[in-house]
Amino acid sequence: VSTALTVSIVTSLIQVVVVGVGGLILVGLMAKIKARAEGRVGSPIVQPLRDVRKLVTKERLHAHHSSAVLPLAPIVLTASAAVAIAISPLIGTHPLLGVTADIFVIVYLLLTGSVASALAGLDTATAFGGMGSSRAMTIGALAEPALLVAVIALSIQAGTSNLPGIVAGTLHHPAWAFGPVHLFALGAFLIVVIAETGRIPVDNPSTHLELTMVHEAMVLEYAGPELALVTVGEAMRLGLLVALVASLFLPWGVASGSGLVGLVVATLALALKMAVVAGAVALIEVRSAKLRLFRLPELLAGGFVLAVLAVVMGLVSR
Amino acid sequence: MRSLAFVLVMLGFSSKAGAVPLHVWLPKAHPEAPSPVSALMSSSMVAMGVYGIIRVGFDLLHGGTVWWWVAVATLGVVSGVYGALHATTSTDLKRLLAYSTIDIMGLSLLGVGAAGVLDDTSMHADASLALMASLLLLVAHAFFKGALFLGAGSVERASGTRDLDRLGGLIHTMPFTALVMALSAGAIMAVPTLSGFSSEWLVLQGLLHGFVDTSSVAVIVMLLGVVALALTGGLTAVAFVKAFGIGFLGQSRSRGALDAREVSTWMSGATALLVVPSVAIGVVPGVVIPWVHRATDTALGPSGASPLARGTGLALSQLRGAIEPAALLVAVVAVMVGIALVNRTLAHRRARRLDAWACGRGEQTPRMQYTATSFAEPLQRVFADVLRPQSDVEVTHAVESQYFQQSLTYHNRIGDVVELRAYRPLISFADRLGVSARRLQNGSIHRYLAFGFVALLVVVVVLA
Repeated sequence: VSTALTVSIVTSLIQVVVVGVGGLILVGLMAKIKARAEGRVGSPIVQPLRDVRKLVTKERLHAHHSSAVLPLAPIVLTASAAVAIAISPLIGTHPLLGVTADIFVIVYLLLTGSVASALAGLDTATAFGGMGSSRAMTIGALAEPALLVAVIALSIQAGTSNLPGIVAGTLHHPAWAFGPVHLFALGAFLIVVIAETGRIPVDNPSTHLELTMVHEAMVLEYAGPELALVTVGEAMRLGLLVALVASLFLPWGVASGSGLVGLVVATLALALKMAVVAGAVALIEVRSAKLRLFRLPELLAGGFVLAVLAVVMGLVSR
Repeated sequence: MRSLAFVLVMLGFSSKAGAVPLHVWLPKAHPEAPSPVSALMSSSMVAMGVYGIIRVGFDLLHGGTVWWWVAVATLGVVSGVYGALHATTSTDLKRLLAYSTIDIMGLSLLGVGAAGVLDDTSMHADASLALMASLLLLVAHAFFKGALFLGAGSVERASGTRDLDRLGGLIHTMPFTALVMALSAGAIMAVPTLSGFSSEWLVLQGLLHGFVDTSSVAVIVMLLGVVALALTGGLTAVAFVKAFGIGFLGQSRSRGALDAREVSTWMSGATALLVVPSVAIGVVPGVVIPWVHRATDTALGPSGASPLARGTGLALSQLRGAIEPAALLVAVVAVMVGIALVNRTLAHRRARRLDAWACGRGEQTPRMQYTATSFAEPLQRVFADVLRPQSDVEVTHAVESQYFQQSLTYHNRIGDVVELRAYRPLISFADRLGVSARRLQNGSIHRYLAFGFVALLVVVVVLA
């Protein structure tokens, strides 16, 4: 029993570190890929890590009229993402608290983080904060159905909504990964990943123009260590979503045993898969222009339709 | 005959539960009552509608046929989405809560409908699961919606308004009410480890089980149910981020909100009394499951073992899914404390207060903030086909030049489409019928006697 527990703890710890730090590196990697594709040199891949280190040493600043929500929100954002990462089967199918790693728990933990950020945006009592919160919640409300229905499609196929169970099921039946359920769900998932992490064509992470900002407007009042925490939390969410895509749709490499070698291999495989998925997202960013805010519902409805098709496919091929 | 009886009873009780299209009274009645009465109405009285359908459908009529329950589930799906959509665009705090009651009643009816369909396709264990989910949702809703209405009552008493567009900044003056509202809003948004999450998770599991091996009718119901649940989830989050974020955070938008003071200990105590069980149901939902199971056994007939394993969390016996909210809560709180400690050691000095960024313009006034109306405006545009908002902008130009504006007014009104499109024409039709019937009545006693004579003749002829 104790060895199993040790393996679980090690699995969860590696996941949090790899996905947490990896998330920041992914941000740098995506910026680098974009820069190269546009013919620029771009900043180093580790630039986000340096930014965080710099921010941590700065002074804490709070806007007038803001309440305890402002410093609390980044903590909730990061903690919910960290727990979601720790209990997901990203490198092994036996993470800590794997029993409660229900796919809906992960979805709603992510929602909790979004709600915390949106409240922080309203807490600053500025036009920017409200604008960012309103837009982010609108996008979230439209992306959430696509994500939920997509994970429901996967749970119907696997016969369980337990995330380690779904990953183990796909490892057991490799044909699932190439079946229509997985393909349609993957399409929906990618749209949700782009929407939830604020990438082009939904939001531009590098913009500082008032009228086009969504996420950046919401966190405009953050500075110093709290901005560092927001950056880390957002990177963790990006890392988690990318790693979930990797584990759900390309589960090979995820360790189902308890050997240490398996975990090392799985960690390397996860890093590689995350880099591939992030590269794909970066290439989508390079190749598309940002959509008008009121064109977004069409894109997200497209994701929703793909997810519903995935469910229907699961029922037809039952 | 049994079907007719069920349909009529279902319509009657669904009007009690506030299901669309018989819901129009609810968002008018619940906000106007004094808040403790609203709390009672929204948390327990509407639940009687669902109870009535369960009692008559399962107990008295023994389940009936599949299409009865398809009808119940459809009512649930429509009410869920419609209620959630109107909650996101409401600016009156209590009206928002009333619409969200329609939403939750819809989800609960969906669970009942799913249970009926599964019961009729002889999947008794799964039917029991779906009904338990529906009842757990009702129990959880009774507590958190009660707390939300009492909190809204405190806000109304302290600030003199319940219009979100005139509130704001209450977290500074009414911290306890803010905390209570945050916990209850978190519960209804299905934040994990709060009661809304545990019960909605169970509803989802009930629907998922329906997919496994049932008839095609059942599968369509489950599919619609899942889609409705997914849509309402996102919309409810917007509605309650708006309710809490606009009402309690930011700067006060009116004198009343600025001068608000925390309400008396008795009022906050009563609200806390409802929040504690709401949180408890979320963290250890397994504790209330035996009672809920006994209720479903009464309705559906003894099903033997409970589909849920005994424990503090919720674990399906067939191991198709489990949640352990208590463990999850410990994990999240531990990580939060860890981050806060690291944060403190890194930046030990107190935060300095500064003006927020206003593009170098200077001071931010309360009028520059987003309001409840503007917060929901993007979604109002997205769902304009369903909501049919009427908005107009009136611009008065300066006398000297067309390019300068003297004043600008913006009106935005969202009526209830069902009321405007179905009830109003029906009422005006009845009205016209009444007016034309009045022509029969001209005050002449001779004419009335003639009517009586003709009627008597007709009766005699018909009976002969």
